[in-house]
Amino acid sequence: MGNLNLVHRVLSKFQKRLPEELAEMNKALERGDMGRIAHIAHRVKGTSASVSAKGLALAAAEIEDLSRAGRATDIPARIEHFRDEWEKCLDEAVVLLSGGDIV
Amino acid sequence: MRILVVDDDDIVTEILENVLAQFGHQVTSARSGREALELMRSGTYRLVVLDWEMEGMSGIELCRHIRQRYSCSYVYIIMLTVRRGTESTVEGLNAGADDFISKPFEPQELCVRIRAGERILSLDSRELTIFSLAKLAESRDQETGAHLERIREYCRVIAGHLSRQEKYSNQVDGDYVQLIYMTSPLHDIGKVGIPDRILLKPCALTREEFEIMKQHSTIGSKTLGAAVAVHPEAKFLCMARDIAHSHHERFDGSGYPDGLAGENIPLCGRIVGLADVYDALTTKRVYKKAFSHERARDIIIEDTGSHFDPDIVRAFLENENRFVKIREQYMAREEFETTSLLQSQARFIPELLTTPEFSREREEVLVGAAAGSNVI
Repeated sequence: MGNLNLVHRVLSKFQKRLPEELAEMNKALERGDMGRIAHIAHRVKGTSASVSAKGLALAAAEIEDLSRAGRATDIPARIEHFRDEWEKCLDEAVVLLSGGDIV
Repeated sequence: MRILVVDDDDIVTEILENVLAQFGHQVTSARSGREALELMRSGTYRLVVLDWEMEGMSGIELCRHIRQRYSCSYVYIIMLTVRRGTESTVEGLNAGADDFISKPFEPQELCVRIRAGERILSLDSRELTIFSLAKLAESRDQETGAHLERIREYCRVIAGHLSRQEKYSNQVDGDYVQLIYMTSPLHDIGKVGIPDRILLKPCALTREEFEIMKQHSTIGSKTLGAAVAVHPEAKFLCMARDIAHSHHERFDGSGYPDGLAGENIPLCGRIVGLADVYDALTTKRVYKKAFSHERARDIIIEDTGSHFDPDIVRAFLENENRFVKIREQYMAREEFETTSLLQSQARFIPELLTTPEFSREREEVLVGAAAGSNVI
């Protein structure tokens, strides 16, 4: 895209948004609201894919599929996996945002 | 190209805005379907990129809403989705989407697809076709000159005024204004079914002849109604039909063809009704001279509530200057056209160059008829 400013803005937003999404997903899980989880996971999948966070998009897709299939007991483990992916992503984002190896 | 981007994910809208701006487009973004519909009321967006999954109104619902609206020109819709598979594609197409782009999108692909949309939109020459058709129908009745050009301008002014009034804001939006601009020239299309001896008669019509003349409103609405039956989704045809049918109705119920009164007369018919009379009064006809704006205005004020809807008269009065300007603008052009027309016909019909002489009494009757009721 050749626009560092944009990358910066988008990644910061992404960084801020994800924890909120994760918290909301956990809340929905406590309520057993599969529809809500599927919705959030779907959204996260789209956003992640848009910022090229492939591992994260994949992890979100797994959660979406499980919640649509109503497999509530399998979801916590996948949310953990999602969190791991998120940590990885965060490390990369920090490098990018610090103006490191991009270009 | 002005593009409306609709997505409830601000990260995605930001990326889209940026990419599209880099390719030279003007982008506005909406965060919900509702906001998008509100923005689309302006009638300025002809290309929409929208997300399938949104909270509240989904992309599919938004798509359906856009397709159901009064729309004067085609809106090209590109759906953004992470869904794959034939089923989703069919659902999207059924809702009225034109194209799909999967998330994450490739900037290059997005722009190529937008260009494809622009090509389709450029083929949409509906507006031109409609006007040519209206001109063709009007061509037997040469004396009216730029009548259609003026009518649509007047209608645009009135509708534009109404769109800013609270009472009409739900009914009249930017799209409605453009739609009436486009369809008002068709109001007299039914005159193609009126015989020459009546349509072109240079003096007052007998009662029987006038009855035949009145049929032009139903001939027009039947013709357009047949098209509506085949394309019920084409809102511009519906409006054209309503205008052709009801532009001679009067507010007190004394008009034709149905004798409808008040708000039972379609709004578009009430608007065109006033514009049509104003134009007939302020231009020269074989049976009368052109009245001044002031005289026409007085006649219209006099007939407020009987012939005309008081709200429409108010819209007219508050935009008087624009009416005068439109009239002047076309007047100059018209004089030129009329002269060349007369010259070209004079070779065959020398009488045309001499002014028909009416007896004083007869002129009064004709002028009275024009001012009062029989503007046709």
